Amino acid sequence: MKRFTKTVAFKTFAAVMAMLVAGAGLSLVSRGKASPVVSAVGWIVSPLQTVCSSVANGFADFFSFFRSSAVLQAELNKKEAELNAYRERLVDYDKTRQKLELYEQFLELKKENPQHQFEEASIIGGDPAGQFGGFTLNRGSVSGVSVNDPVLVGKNLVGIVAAVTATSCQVKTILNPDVHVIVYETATGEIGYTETTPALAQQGLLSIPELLRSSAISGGGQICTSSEGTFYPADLIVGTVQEVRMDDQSLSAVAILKPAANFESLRDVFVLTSF
Amino acid sequence: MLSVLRKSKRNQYIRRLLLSLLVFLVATAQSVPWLPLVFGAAALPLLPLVVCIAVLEQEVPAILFGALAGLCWDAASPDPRGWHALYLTVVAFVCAALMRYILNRNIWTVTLLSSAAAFVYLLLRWLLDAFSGGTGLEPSSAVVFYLPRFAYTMVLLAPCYALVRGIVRKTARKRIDARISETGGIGQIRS
Repeated sequence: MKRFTKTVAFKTFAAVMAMLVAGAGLSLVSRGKASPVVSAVGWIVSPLQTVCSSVANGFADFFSFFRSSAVLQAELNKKEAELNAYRERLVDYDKTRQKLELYEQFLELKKENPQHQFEEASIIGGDPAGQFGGFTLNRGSVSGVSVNDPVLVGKNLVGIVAAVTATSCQVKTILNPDVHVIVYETATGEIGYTETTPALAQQGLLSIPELLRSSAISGGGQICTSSEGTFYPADLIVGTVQEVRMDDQSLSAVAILKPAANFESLRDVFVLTSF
Repeated sequence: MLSVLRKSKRNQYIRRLLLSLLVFLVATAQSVPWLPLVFGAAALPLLPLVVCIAVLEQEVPAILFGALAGLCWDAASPDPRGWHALYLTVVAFVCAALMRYILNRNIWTVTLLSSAAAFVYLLLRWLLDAFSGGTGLEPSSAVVFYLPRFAYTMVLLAPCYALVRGIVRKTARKRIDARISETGGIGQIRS
């Protein structure tokens, strides 16, 4: 054993572990900041991921174009050339429309709240082992993003910045059990907070627990962020009530929500850096 | 003779450069949606890749490749504190040490070590989610969420092993050693 601990391999292992543990320790102490070692690697990896993400999206668009084209080609064999030109224009149009919709929603929000500062960001990676849809954005502390900044798509709340490196940031979605949002129902004004479980998160759902049994909240109700919270500005849309269940154990009611943001199709989002 | 030794050193640099590129590419493929989801499950190819490198490389580079792979993973992870770097460094060290002192180098050993590495990682994630997320131990999430990821990851072991083995074989020192022996030089240089 003594001989083993004197080998170069063991000494290298100990040195690397010491460096990584020191980085993790610093990160824990600084609450939310990434480990310095990870940040250093992030400087190299983030641009690479941005490029790869763009290439991946490009390929997805390319293949979706050909899939759609094949279906239409069967129906309109004689007009192949015309159809392809039309499809190309349509793909461009769809992309522009999606971008425009995003900016329209953003403009509406900006008009309503001129004091809000936004940073546009693109998703460059996700956590394949994560149950709750966390992802990485291509904006970091250099762009003014900091921990606990809300992340939106249009007026819909997506999540919150959990950690920041210089050029990227990591987002926990509202489907993460760590993320709780103080909310109110727009019709009744009843206040509550969101939470979720792995089972609910896998179905893409949230809940508002501990409502009074006499609660007037019902299916279809709109749920927004409340001004009583500190991390989120008021009136961001969280989701729609699907149903209200009675909780026999706690003698209260639980509202089940479907989030307004579609997490599966997210590509570009806005980080609210100041409000 | 000197040129043969230089070639051996150069091959070593090329091998490590190629393995570094492979680690970067696989880390990117893991975090960017390059690999298709199979029944909703994403793969974690960095785990078998680190095990393959640890099995086929020497100990010190294996540890450094483990740390590099973990740091790349952390850089794209929602919790960039370096936990993956710590885990993969330990995995690389343990695998390299086992290969040196106990185990033989073959596909079954790689399969065994990769399954153990993936199983322990997913078990830790499940336990962390259960306790730090306050969600409690739900066996259904282990079966529905983590088991398909484990299976998908293990499917990617074969291509990872083939790639790493290909790189290591192409740049192996054996041929250089043989050449040294042929020319009557220092034949025992491999140690």
